Amino acid sequence: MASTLQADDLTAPSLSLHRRRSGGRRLLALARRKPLGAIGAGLMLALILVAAFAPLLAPHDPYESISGARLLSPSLDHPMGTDNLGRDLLSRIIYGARISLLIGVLAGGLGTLGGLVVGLVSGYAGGWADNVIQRVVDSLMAFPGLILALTLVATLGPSLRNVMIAIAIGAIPNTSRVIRGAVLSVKEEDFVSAAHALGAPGWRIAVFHIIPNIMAPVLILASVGFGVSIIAEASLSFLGLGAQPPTPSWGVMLSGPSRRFMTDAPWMAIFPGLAISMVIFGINIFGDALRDILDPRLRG
Amino acid sequence: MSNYWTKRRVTRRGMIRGAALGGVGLAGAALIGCGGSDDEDGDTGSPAATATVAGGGSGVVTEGTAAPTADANVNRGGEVVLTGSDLQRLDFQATISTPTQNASSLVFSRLVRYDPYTGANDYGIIPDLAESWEVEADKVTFKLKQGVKWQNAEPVNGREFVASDVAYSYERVATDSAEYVHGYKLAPVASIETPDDYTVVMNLARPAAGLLSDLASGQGMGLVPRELVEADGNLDTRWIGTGPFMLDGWEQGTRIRFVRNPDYHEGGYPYVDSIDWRFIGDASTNLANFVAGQLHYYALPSLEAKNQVESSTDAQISTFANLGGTHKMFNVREDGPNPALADLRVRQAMDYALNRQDILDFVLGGDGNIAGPVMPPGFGDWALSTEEIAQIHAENLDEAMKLMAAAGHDSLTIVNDYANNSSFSEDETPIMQQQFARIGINLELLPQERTVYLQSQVEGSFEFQNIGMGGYPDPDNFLYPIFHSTGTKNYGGVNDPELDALIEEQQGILDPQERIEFIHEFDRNWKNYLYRIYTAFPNTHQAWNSSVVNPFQPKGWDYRGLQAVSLK
Repeated sequence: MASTLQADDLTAPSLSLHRRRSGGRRLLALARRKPLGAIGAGLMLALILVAAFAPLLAPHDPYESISGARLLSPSLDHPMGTDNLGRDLLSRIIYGARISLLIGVLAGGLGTLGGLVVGLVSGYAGGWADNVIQRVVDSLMAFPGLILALTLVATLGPSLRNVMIAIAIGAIPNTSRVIRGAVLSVKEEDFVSAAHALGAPGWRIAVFHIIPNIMAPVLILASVGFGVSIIAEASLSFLGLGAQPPTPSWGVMLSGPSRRFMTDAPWMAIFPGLAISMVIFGINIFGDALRDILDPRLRG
Repeated sequence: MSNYWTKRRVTRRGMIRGAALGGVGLAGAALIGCGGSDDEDGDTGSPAATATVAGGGSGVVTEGTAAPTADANVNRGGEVVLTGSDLQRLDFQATISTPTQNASSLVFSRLVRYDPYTGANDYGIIPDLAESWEVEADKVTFKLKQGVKWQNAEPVNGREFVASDVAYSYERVATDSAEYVHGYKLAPVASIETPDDYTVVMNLARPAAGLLSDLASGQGMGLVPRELVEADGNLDTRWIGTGPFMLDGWEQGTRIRFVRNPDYHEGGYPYVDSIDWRFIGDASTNLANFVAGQLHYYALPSLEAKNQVESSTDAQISTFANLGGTHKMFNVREDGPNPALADLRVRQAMDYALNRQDILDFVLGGDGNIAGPVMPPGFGDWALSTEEIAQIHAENLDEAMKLMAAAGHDSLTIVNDYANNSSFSEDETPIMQQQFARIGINLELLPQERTVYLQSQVEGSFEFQNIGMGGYPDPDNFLYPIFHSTGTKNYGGVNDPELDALIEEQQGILDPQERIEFIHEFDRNWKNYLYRIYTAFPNTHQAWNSSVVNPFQPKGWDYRGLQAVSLK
């Protein structure tokens, strides 16, 4: 019994260790193969952690004007300095990560989801439905994305929620066009014909057979959409149409006051600008790596 | 309401004194309007403009002066480049738009104007198209300059300026139409007579201590030719005036340009050939342009900008207390979007919740003065001392909480809207939001595109709105149009008979010292009305390029001082 127990004890952990090492090794191998992708993933993970633990990490209330702390340059007390209203910039940038993450996930996600639905319906249905949808998409694509978002926000009114809606709608045309292409390719595959022959309904084929086979472009588009959404929010906020002061959005922090105090307090623009650059850089290189890994032509 | 102030016997001593002292009072009021700010810089090097206010003691005061004379040896020619915001429209009589008023002052003369060289808060009055004037208790008589020509363009064709032009211009402004927002300035004028081509008699319905100051204002008081308005229907297409410059072109969103009027009635002026007024809204761009020598004049938007200009250029800078500034306006209509604001206790609670020194320090970097009463700090003898303002409007959270409780509010949400191009509002509203939160008021910030913001102002659909205020020359300008129930700028829906009576009373006090005391007492009791809240007003720093000779301090929407500016 004792020996059996010993054997079980030895066997089970050894299997479990083997599995963990396998996962870790695979990740390590991926990181070695795509070091930039690993850095990108690390930056995204950092963004998520900073956003999640903002109240623990921020040394000050991001909205609090601290007496006597107007336009202080970076120091131990305020590592990124303070703004013209005496607010700690590090705390505002930490809280700003929440808004960027929210925008990236919700606006980017909604845009991708919307594009997936439109592209799937258009590509799978074909015929007149495809024609109608694609002409609508054509007309939307005639507007540059930011102009479309600007128009929508100007119509709906400036707020973070409306910015997310505008960015998501702005992302749908391009995303749907790529998805449609992928759907057109997959729906000619034999397994789709087989499903048809077996009498599977169209929605079932689309959801259970086509979508799993176009996940690679969907994931890549989602990662791109994440970054584009953050930039779009920053741009709209910079133009006064996104998040509104005193919300600690990075775009808001880059607009108005930081430009007015560019000479006296350059840190007001430098740090939020750096934060945006780092996150976008991270997402881009992560997206590139993801594309390389998921694209069978590049998997080699 | 029952206190000393409201129980005070309402007198109309100005009316009783009538003919005996009326003229003296009016002249004196004009002087006081000019008056004695401690914050002014000294004379910046006046050209030959001659300020005038002559006294008299027999019931009639005659004022007049020789026209300013140009310097024959000055360097002529060149172009002055300015920056500003775009005009809302060209018809300056039918808009409140400050850029429109400023620009129109170069083209349209008035009967009298402010001396541009007496200091920024000193509204000394000098002749413009009137060469002299007589002030009596019940009328003002102007003698016009002879030989003044309209600019030589169709349909006026350079004809002579005459008295009927004055009557026509003022009658156009003084309509009941809401479009003509400057008509209130002529409210005391019962009728205008023109016995001959060079005499204008304004018969007064009531004593009007601030009338001369109002007529001198660049805001809506320019004199226009009837033929032009009748030909075009309004002044939105062309400008033809008697001023030193002629409109060369208005490129919306880009610039408005003026060229020298060769037939200008003040001989020898202007010195420069043209003025290019560019519409550059971005402060950092303007600052960079000024530092690079591409602008001749720039009203510096902040202390930091002033420091930068001082350290990197040899510009000529003057600093003074700004009589205008952004403040907060309540919509006090009972059926308005937030009826709680009709309750004086709520407004008082909000006033007590404010720490004005913090607002001054954070928003303006301490570069200005705390405000509270209606008359702005720095407004010469009219203003209470800074110490008294600080004492009356000191932060008192306990009192604020008591007032909120008495008004039946544990918490209250108020929407604060403001124009999204106002940097002062952008900075101040978050501070106020923090301060109001301490008494349970949730201030929801709503920056709006300027057109939308102005629309909500006119429609009265706002709750609590930031609003700018110009540097008015007379106390009445800060009171009647804004707080009187019939005022044209009474956007907040104030309808307070007690306040109406007080405003009308000060209009009739022609004794300057008595009026000052009345205004002081009014300001001390402003907390019992509080239809608007004043927090802090900035200092103004005006910078002229070192190449500019005879720099002046624009005031009262009047840039006529540009006629005496020359370039080295």
